[in-house]
Amino acid sequence: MTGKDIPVRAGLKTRRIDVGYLARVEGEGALMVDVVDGELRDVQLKIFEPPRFFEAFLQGRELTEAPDITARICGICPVAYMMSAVHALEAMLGIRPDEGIRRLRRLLYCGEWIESHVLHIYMLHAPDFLGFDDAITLAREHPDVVKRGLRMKKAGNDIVKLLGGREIHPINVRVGGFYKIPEVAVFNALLDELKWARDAAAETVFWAAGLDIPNMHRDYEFVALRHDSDYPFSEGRIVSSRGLDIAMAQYPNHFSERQVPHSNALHSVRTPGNTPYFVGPMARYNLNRDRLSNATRNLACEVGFDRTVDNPFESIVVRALEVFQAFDEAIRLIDDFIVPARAAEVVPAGGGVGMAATEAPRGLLFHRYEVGEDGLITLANIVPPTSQNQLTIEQDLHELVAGNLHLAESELTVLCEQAIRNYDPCISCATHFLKLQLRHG
Amino acid sequence: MTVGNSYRGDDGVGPYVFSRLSEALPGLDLVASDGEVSGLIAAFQGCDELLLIDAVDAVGAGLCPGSVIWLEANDPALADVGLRASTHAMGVAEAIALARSLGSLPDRFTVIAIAGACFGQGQGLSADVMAAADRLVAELSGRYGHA
Repeated sequence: MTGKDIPVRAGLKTRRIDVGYLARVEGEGALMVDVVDGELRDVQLKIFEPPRFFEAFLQGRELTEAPDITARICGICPVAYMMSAVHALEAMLGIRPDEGIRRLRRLLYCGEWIESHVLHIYMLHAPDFLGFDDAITLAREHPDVVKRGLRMKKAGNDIVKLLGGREIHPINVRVGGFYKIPEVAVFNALLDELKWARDAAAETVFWAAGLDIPNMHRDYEFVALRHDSDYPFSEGRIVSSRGLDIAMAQYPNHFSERQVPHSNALHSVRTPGNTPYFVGPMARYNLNRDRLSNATRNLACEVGFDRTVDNPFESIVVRALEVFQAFDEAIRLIDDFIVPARAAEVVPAGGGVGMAATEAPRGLLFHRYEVGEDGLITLANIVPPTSQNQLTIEQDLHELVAGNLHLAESELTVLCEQAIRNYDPCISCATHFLKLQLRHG
Repeated sequence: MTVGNSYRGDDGVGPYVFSRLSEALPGLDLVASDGEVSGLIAAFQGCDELLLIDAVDAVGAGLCPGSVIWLEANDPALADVGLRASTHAMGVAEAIALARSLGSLPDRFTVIAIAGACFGQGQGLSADVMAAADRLVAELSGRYGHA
């Protein structure tokens, strides 16, 4: 649709905000805002990247191949895709790896959260708050800040590389455990840098909390995993801020995906009301603050975040708190290392239906598999966090634009971009390349 | 420093050169990278002189496959040469720009770009690219062999 296509009565003024392309790499999208006679008519976050057919690729493949195939869905959060696949298939087959494997999986997850969150905080989101076009110009004015972020990210990379075999698209994860367990001494060699990074993460929390954060509050339904004792990575029940409390396998009964004409990404909604919901760091934080380590809770108190966070622009602080939590837990996991009895449990023959959700850096990631008795996958369904947040992002933008129509074109563009990045969607890597076009009727 | 992915056709020229140089010049300080930005910038630090060898897309750069071009890191053409980007749209060119902003570029920093023809999935270099890589290894061996 172009500006000329907007159906309006004669004499009304139309204004279209056309945020061109959220393009390259992890997704391609655009933002379209239509205003008629000073009134906001429509906001659409368009994801027009062609479908990638991963669920179809999985059909007919051995169940043991699922982690390595699904890892290729994302270069930033491959661990989450691998672990959702592994947990779904292990649930189906009744495999229960020992505590040593469980802890190593949590350590791997710590590494991925650190890599992803630090990249987003320092390289993608911080320039919005500080008035820079990108991280490169930010680095000229604040080199020490960017150096801190790069070194922290590398510390996360080193965890994933050690345990996963390489930084991007790890190759050491399998159904039942790992292909190989590194020696304890190699983990211990990371400790000094991880301790530096934990201190740097605390500095990051104070720095993020001191940014000039736009004020916006909405009444969201937050959805995340909740575990009996730990901050959630890949175990527990699915809970919401409006009373939902279900086993992972009940997910299809309470959520559904629907197609919308303007996006190639499916929109997820809560059923039966077809209402939007919110997944990601803020949801995890609000539903699991009592599961944070004492050190993280104390830090949160110091910056005034011992409360429910309902301003999406404050997500940068919550992400920073999760980075601290991840470094804190990584150090604890290495200090209390338990050598697994074996690298992987035996994968028994058989099929069935397996479902699991884990907490990707961007939020809940649900996998469901149907497997034949021959061990071949017959059906796969993958619900990533970005599609679950898409409707919520549109509603944030709707409220934000409606309240800021008086702003100049450039200011409104910056605000829209920043609001999209609050969710760190996979398309966020390219949103610094947005071009805004305003059309007046 | 070499950059590349040996499972993506001619993007594997960096790892190929790494392997050849490791044999030819065992005393040379060599680093292999997959192009991840924080790792690149960490590796830049502490270097007086750095040669970075990476593949470029011949079509995008307007070069014949197998062409080899040497560029100083401050050459404006670097932004246009089309070095293969890693995930999330940041690659060697962005790492160099970021390191420059941070004041952590080596004093002498040369990018050696080898134009490739095929970057699809699978191992193996095309003939022109392998020949160019072998010539480059010979040249670097002659230059640094007695260092």
